[in-house]
Amino acid sequence: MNLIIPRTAVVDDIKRETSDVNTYIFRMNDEQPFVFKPGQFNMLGFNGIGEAPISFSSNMLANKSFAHTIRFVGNVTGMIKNLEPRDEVWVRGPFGNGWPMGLIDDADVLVVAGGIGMAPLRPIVNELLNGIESRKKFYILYGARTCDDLLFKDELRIWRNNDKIRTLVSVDEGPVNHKIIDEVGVVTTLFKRIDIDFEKTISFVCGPEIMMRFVAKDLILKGMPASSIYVSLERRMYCGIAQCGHCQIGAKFVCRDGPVFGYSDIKRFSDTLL
Amino acid sequence: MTHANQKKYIIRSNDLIGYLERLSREKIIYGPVRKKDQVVFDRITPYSPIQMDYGMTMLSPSKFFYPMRETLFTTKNETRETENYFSLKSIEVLADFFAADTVVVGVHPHDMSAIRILDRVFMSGDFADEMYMKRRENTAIIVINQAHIWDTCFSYSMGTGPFLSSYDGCDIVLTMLGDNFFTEVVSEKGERLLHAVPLKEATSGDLAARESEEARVISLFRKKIEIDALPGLVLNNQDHEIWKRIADDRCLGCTNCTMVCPTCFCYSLEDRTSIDLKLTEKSRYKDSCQELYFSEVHGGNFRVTRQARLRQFVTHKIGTWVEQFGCFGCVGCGRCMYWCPTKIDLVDIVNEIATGIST
Repeated sequence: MNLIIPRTAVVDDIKRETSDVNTYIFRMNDEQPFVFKPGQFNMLGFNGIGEAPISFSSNMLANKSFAHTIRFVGNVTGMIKNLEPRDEVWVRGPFGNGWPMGLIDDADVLVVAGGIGMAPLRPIVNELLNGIESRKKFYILYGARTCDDLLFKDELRIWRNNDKIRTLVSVDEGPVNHKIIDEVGVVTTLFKRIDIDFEKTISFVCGPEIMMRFVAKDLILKGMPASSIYVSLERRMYCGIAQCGHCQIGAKFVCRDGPVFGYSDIKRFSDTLL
Repeated sequence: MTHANQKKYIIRSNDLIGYLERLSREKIIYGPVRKKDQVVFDRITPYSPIQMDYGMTMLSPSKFFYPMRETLFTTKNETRETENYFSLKSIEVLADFFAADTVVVGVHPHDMSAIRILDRVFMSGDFADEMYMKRRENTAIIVINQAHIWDTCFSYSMGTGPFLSSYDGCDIVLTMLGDNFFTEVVSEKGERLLHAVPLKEATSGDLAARESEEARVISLFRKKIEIDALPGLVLNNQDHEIWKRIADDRCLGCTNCTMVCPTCFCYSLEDRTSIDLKLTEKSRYKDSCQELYFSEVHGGNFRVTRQARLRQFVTHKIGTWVEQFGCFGCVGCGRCMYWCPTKIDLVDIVNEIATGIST
């Protein structure tokens, strides 16, 4: 089978998140099965334009559907911006290893997101909400540039109203007294508000690499083992199948061995900001 | 060292080369041919005879299995409407595989090792590459042990030459002994290929002649590298000042090293559309980690300096490759340093890190 040949998916629904981010519900347009795990990604593309790797921002939905939350920054995402319901895109995937969901069963969980990094973390939150009653501690820390850049605002309100989850939000700049904002500053300023046993917590982190570096540093200083910190990395993949070489960090192919890595496993290489 | 299981024959050089040149009228045979003042791997024709006694070619024969550029598929736009253009359904896969009985002849042992390394990249794991696999299946490879050594060659240190040591994946191994080829038949494919050639069973005298020829060629090596300390030596010295010094003083970022490397596998995908918007070609072309854009991501680049890119090339070939594929990514052919305009030398870099002495 030639793994570079794409399948097609249809746009079922579009939801505006911010001025430059939309969430799209896609549905696979063929008879083949389509199964994925949280933390994996698709190569979305257009004929004659190219492809871009995009994380799933939902769990598996009915009828082989799935969501991608996409910021419009380049050629492919610029094309996605023009999509309307019933339009088609090329899809290759799912690729990557996904979040280590098996680890969350009995551990306390800390989710740290920066900006568009909330998108690949959203399936974890959805998964955790399922068995929320029996869970001990579950924190979501979410940092964005401004209030207007927060994604999934409706869900954010629901999460904040659920007393089993502690959802804390920081913005780099903005009104101090806004009801949804807990801190003005970078996302690590929220750490002083959490009460958690860092040695027994699993953390999932996604955001700009420099943000993940400081989140990991602070968590390690607070006593969290580096191996309990999972980060999801971004690289410009061309193939998704560990051949084209663009996403290599040391001995790791981010597309196949990642994009989710234990922090201690990826920190040992050059060419990252981690 | 010869291999006990193989059938061993003596074939007169003229018989074998004449036979292959006759065969080249019926089937596709690639091999070393002379073009002006160079020997290159190309199709054997009556006008370009086989040049079996050659030194270094610029590109290795692995280019036949993993071409510098190839089309993966095309899409056709049958409608006249341009707005439907970007999500076409009619994809046509170009069956640009080799015919079932293609032959690549005259492959040096280190280049055979390079093909075996690419096998690990493209034929193992979950993502076997269909095009590469078909070409490998459809091709017989005739290896010729080296009779010459060039200044930059250190294949003996890498265990990939001058004589082939692992016979996996090839079909016939030749050693030039005067006017004869000492011939070891490795596979059935190789056996069938030789059915019309006059063969003579090799004697113990021929075997001894092959051994002394191997010893002679080994004694010619001047360039040596100590591989025992290797993955660790470069990986533990990623911040060594040598990277910055050599990159800033000498690296032009021209990408020659990666383009001529027989094991470099990185590629980029490209869409090219005809001017009437009726045809789009998705192709892949060999790309290079020495290009600035190679490690670009949105909002930044992870290897902005030439120093980082030079370090990536060297530490990948003889460092992280071992963790990725269980072997070195360098076969010691010396092409990277020969074609480097400023003669940046991977062996010198490693030796300087090891000894602290600059050469």
